[in-house]
Amino acid sequence: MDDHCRTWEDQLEQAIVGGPVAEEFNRHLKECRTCRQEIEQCRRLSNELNALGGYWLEQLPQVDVLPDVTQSIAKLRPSAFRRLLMPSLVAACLIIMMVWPMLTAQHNDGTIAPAAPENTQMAGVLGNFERLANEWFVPHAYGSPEHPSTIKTNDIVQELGKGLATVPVRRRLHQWGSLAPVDCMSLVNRADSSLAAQIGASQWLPQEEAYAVLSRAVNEPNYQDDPVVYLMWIETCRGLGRENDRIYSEYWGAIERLRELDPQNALALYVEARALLDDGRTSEALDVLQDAATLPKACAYTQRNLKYIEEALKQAGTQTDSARLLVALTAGEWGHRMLVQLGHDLLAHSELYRHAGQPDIADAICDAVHVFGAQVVAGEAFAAERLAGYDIQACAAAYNPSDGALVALDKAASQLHEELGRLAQTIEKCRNGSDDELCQLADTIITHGDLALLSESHP
Amino acid sequence: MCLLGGSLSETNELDEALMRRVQDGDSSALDDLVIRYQQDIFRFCFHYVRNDEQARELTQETFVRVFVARDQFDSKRPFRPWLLRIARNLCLNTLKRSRHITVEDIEGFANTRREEIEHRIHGATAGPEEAATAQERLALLDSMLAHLSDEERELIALRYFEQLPAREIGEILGISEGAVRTRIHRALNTLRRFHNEQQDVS
Repeated sequence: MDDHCRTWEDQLEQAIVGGPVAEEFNRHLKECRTCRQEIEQCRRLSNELNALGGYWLEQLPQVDVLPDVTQSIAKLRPSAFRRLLMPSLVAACLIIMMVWPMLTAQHNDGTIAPAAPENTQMAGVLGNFERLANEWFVPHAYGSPEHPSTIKTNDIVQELGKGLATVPVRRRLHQWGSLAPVDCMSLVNRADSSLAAQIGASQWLPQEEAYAVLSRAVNEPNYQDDPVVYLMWIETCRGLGRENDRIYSEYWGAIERLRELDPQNALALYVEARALLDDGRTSEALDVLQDAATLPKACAYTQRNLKYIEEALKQAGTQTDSARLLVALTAGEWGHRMLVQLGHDLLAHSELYRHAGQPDIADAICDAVHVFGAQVVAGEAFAAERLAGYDIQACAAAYNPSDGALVALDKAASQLHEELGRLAQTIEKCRNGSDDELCQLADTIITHGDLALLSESHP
Repeated sequence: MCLLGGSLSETNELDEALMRRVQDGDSSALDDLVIRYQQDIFRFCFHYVRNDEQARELTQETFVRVFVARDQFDSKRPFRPWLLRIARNLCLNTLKRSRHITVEDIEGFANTRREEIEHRIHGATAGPEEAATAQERLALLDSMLAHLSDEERELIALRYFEQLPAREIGEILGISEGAVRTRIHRALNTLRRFHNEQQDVS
């Protein structure tokens, strides 16, 4: 069979089964003995396959799976409670676990004390992480952010002068570095605001409004190849629930698109595994988790996200230099929140399987979350996200502790603490210099991540 | 023998109507779909896993997934390819996991499978002579299919054992009808070459 004959491959199959073929191919057949022979031999072969396949399949027993299907579905029905309420309860417990020391152990100077020492090694390790989380990642849930237009670079320097490591300062920075929903709404409704600024603002908008902004973004040529936009969209679609078919199908489409855009980022696979687990497609989810474990890193694209946040702050009225500095000093907040939430969601599913008497599946998910945490640590240049990675590992260890995991975690916590201390020193050094140096520092962080600050070459 | 018995045009509308009832919470509609398709899905799964018990479990799981994913079904599209895609994904996942087993496991599985096949043939109602011929033909088919890739074996099974049209195979595998025809032809050619080689040797 030569190359010319090969161009008729799809017609050959038609000819073998006796289907209609193109007139041109019929003419070719008249001239080509090889093709005729091939068709004849394949036809004999396919007849034999038909007969043998038929014989074989007739030997299979009759099955009646209806009673088992009915029983399995009956077991699924009460899981509306397990699937909706239980994850919420587990998440609530985890949040309480994280927040409790913050609520109960405040010093007079406003700094947060380490969690009260416990007897077990587990409590010690987790306490260490709670302290880190409380001291270094301060969400802006302490009240409405002040209006950004009132923030000047001098204000930021003044705050830094009070000591970056104290919680009130970090809290203040986070308030300045984010927008209140009402400011976000006015930004989105303004005719002159850019889509980039609206994407940035969508992170603090209610889900419905955020959905409207992100739906536009993914259809705009400038943004439709940006993975962080898809990541935001995925989280927003999920937040809106699965009642709306269109949004639910967009949710899956966005997950697929994220995988396409960045196949080396394990995060897309963890997001997909969560969606599969939400749907009760356990074995597929486990396969996806296995695939995710083979990738080197998981990251929430903090660097890409910063430009949107910076744009939102600027268009909401913050001065250019101040916006840049605030973005640098609070980088990774959205990523931290998103990553930790994803880790908790997966662990909540793990708990469901444990309660349902399927510890193997529960352990497999839990192990995968531990790997996920390690990949987050490996993947990000921003302390806030690395902290999320350690945080995720700590939660996974709390669910399924092993000595090795706890020792590694304890060591990692110390390392992270040291890194963060060095970052604070660098910022302190710049603060004592000129405003220009501080702005240069902001550029370095935004361009390279705060890990860049740890290199000896940095002033 | 045609998979998912009966003509498509007769059953399609009813399938989708039943699925709409399933979506509306009518569980008796799912019972009807199970009764209608369980034997066919069982055979379909058997092609992949080649084990009665596993095929039965996969059949059961397929219908549970149909229920779980009922809201994802678009009732404007045909039900059957959607059902087969669910069954196929489950089978492929099962095969993927089974590939982590050891060589000893594989040998054990092969022996069991051989015994199963022999038992099935000897247990059939055909006379001894007919059974012996069938066994030879089955052995030949088995050895020939073993020379195909997973993808080729899947295509042969869907086309010749399940008698699915190329268009529907394309829908299940997510490829075009033309690509299905080309690939089936290549698989047949591989089988043909192997068959010719066997004849030359003998």
